Amino acid sequence: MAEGPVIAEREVDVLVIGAGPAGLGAATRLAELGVAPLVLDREPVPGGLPAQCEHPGFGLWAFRRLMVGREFAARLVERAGRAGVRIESETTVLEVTPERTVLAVSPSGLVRYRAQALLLATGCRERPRSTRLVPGPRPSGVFNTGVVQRLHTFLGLLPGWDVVIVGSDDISLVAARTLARAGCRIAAVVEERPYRQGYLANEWWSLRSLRIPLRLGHRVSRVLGDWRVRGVEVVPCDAEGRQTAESYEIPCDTVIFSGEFVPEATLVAQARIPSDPRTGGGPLVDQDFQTELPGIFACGNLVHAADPADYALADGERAALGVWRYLSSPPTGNERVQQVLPGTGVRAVVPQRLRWYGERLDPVTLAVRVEPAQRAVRLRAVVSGTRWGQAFAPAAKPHRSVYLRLRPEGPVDAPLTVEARGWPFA
Amino acid sequence: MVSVVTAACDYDYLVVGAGVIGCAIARELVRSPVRVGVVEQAWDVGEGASKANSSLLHTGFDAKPGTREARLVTEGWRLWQREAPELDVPILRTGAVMLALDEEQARELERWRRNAFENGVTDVELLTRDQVLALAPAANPSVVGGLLVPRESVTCTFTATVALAEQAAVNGAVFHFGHRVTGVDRSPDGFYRVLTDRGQITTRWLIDAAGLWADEIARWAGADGLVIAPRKGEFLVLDKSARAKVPLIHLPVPTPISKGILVAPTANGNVLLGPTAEDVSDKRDLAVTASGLQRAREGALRLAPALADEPVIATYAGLRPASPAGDYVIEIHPRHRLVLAAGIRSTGLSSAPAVAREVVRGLLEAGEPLASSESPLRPRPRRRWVPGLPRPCSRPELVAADPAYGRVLCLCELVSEGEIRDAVRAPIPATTLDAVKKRTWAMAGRCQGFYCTAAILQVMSRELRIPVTGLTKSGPGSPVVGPPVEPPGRHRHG
Ligand SMILES: Cc1cc2nc3c(=O)[nH]c(=O)nc-3n(C[C@H](O)[C@H](O)[C@H](O)COP(=O)(O)OP(=O)(O)OC[C@H]3O[C@@H](n4cnc5c(N)ncnc54)[C@H](O)[C@@H]3O)c2cc1C
Ligand SMILES: Cc1cc2nc3c(=O)[nH]c(=O)nc-3n(C[C@H](O)[C@H](O)[C@H](O)COP(=O)(O)OP(=O)(O)OC[C@H]3O[C@@H](n4cnc5c(N)ncnc54)[C@H](O)[C@@H]3O)c2cc1C
Repeated sequence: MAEGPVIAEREVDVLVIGAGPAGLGAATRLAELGVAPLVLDREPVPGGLPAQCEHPGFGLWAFRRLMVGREFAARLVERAGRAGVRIESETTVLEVTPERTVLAVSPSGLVRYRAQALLLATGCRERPRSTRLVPGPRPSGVFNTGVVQRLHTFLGLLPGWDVVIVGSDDISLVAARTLARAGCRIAAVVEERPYRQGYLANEWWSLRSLRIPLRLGHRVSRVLGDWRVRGVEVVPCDAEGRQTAESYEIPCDTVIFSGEFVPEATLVAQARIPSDPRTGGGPLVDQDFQTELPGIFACGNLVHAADPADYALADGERAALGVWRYLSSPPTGNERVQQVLPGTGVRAVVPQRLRWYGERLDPVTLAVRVEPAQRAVRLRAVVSGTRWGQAFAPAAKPHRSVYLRLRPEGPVDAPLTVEARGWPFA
Repeated sequence: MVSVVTAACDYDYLVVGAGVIGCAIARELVRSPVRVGVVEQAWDVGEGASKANSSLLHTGFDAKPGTREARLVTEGWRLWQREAPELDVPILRTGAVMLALDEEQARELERWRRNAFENGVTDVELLTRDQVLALAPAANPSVVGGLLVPRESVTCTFTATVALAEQAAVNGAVFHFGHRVTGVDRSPDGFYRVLTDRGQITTRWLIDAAGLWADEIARWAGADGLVIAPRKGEFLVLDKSARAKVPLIHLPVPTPISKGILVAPTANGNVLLGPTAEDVSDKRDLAVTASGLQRAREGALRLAPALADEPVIATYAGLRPASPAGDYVIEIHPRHRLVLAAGIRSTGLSSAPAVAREVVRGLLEAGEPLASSESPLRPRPRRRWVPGLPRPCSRPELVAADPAYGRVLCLCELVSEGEIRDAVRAPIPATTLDAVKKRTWAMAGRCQGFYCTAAILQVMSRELRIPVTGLTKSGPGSPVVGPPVEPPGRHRHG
């Protein structure tokens, strides 16, 4: 007699968790380097977040053409397939161990994988209303942008008719446009900060062209409605969040809390991979996207939530090289580790450490989050008074990375500090 | 079925209110061959106080000695221990420690120890500071002593209420959801005509378990004098990362007004902070407030400052149905054939099975021919998952038998399509999004539905055979998605 169903065991060279731009970018590059990666994704359709986006804004860097998210995702999947990448959809990873075993489940059963190297590319999610502690009753009609997109793209449904969007990053702005064009009335896009988070061009394209009001310096102080949302109460406030005028109501039947991304770091926490509170709990990585646990890599929105898809893809391609190097010459243990520290005007930097092997000192790209928002910002990466790199940005805001490329100049035994100096936004 | 009355009325016993109390009473009554109905204004069981509480199974150690509450909570605790396994209701016997944060509170501990003894809870124990910190590593380091209550337990109020209701339903109780009682008439033939917004229901006995509105129902039925006042409690829920720091329930030393703000593990592996206690005037006021959440947080962090950085994943508020009498109001009026089970303010989850027995004891005394409380009930169909146990998706035999258990929809709580389907097909079907959440905990994790809401709606739509646009969060008036009936442009707000 055969025993009852058991957990199947499988050995793989490289296992990638997440078939978004980051995971697919890495897997495709690895396949091109001759390693056969297996990609697991929980969704029925691979492609990650872009697969649920019907707006243009993707693919400029990767395919030299602006395309809608769905097409971008489909192209990435197709390219991965051609390179020989295997993708298993509807497969949810339940557990990761520091020893690189991965427990996954799909309708065809449970499998425990043993991988030489593991790449986590599980993306990010938006903070829901509840964690923003917005007061009021809890009626239906409260959403995140991601949920609204899925309803719209996969089920052809709208969240409601009269919509207030909370947040003004590019994702919020685009959501306003998508919904308005689908027939919703956008009562307002409200933003707590005194400035818009997304790009000016996006404000013109998404809001002004459709006459959607943007209310800066407005905080949602209460959701109204017992069964279905019937409005929000907003409070005009200054840069410090202090109330500056009477609160008032904006009638609506739908509130979308948008943006404020946090890494989907469930597996990171569960495997006790050291993480960085400054990024909202993404794992600490080095310039190869290797975490503190040897052979476990992480990239994309999981390490810096949420940057555009092209950046996630680029992360993946760089992580692939790291994985490949790790597989071809496992670490000897005598590499040198250099800390990367956020200095003045900087909240977080990814990678959080640089690992140097032997004498080769390759250039490195840093993703920098400023705090607070600044205009005409000069970013500098400094080691013991020596400048290793610098970058300039006309504007930098905390929700999106500014990239800084540096070239090691000299000894690597002191920490590298990144600072940002610019003019305050207001 | 032998019925004690002619078929001239719909029920022998009609329970108003499908909270934990009403469901427990219905379940106790169906031990006898009588016709039992439950009428509930909401579209699911346990939508009142029974869905927004601390989910603790109290021993009764801190109840006022000599009260009905003290007696029934103690009895309820024992009944739950016995019946929970078969009902698939989780019980975690974590124990509780009451923390004294200064010398004055330390002196109070002795008083609570004596209180516990008076209520027959004799296994409590005074602890030194070091003993407290050994048991409760996250406790405030300035704690000076504690009182250990080893049998205080944690359950899941959602699961408990649904379980009682389902067993009642399996044994013949009929639930009328979405029926709001709007008046009660006593007809000349001695029956009650219970008026609802969807027609009338007739019954021989009326059992008022309407929680916050029990006073209104009682008044309509001719029993004056009952007053129920809402007292709000607000909570924060912490993510599972906090659970390891909270091996047991942390209680403050109570004040005369309230048991106080506590820190408690949940059966599902999270940690609760709260509740506040605030008298409010509006029985519909379930809003969380900025000040309430702040008080809940501050109060909890006084007990366990080490939780300060743990992420909050959800907030909620509940209203205690408080009676100024200060004790449960359980009255049997044989002449009117009216039962009141009301004012069950802050311990009703713990006492529910005992309250139900108390009601049946009263009915027996009134001469009703009911069966003994030991006569057996048909079991409730077994659940594939109970909070705290491994999810079906992690059990190879279940996934092999039914691939729907391998299709995980809710990533945070690891709820599979199979569990959503089971909830919809259960003896009391989950027909709303909130009902699905209550039974499966889908959408109740750290992302609060970011990943899975759309997929869950699809499964519900398929199982219930209604379009997604017809699905609601908690019943008519709360559609989950648009579009509402009016076309864009003409939509106006009332
Ligand atoms: C509303 C919205 C609009 C956007 N618009 C744009 C835009 O116009 N232009 C642009 O460039 N970028 C845009 N972005 C950002 C872009 O989507 C992200 O940068 C990109 O998707 C990040 O890629 P990723 O691979 O890191 O993560 P994701 O694309 O999120 O992929 C993560 C994958 O991991 C899978 N996964 C997670 N956990 C598990 C698990 N336990 N088991 C199995 N699989 C798992 C998920 O199913 C998912 O497929 C937008 C994002 C959002 C939310
Ligand atoms: C903040 C808080 C914390 C608590 N913590 C605990 C705890 O840890 N342990 C514990 O044991 N207890 C606790 N309790 C107490 C417990 O929740 C209550 O005692 C219990 O839920 C009361 O149940 P009930 O059935 O009487 O009321 P409810 O659950 O309120 O049920 C009454 C039902 O009657 C229905 N109804 C009312 N009017 C009508 C009408 N006109 N027509 C039709 N239907 C109607 C309502 O919709 C409702 O569903 C707590 C309570 C609160 C609020």
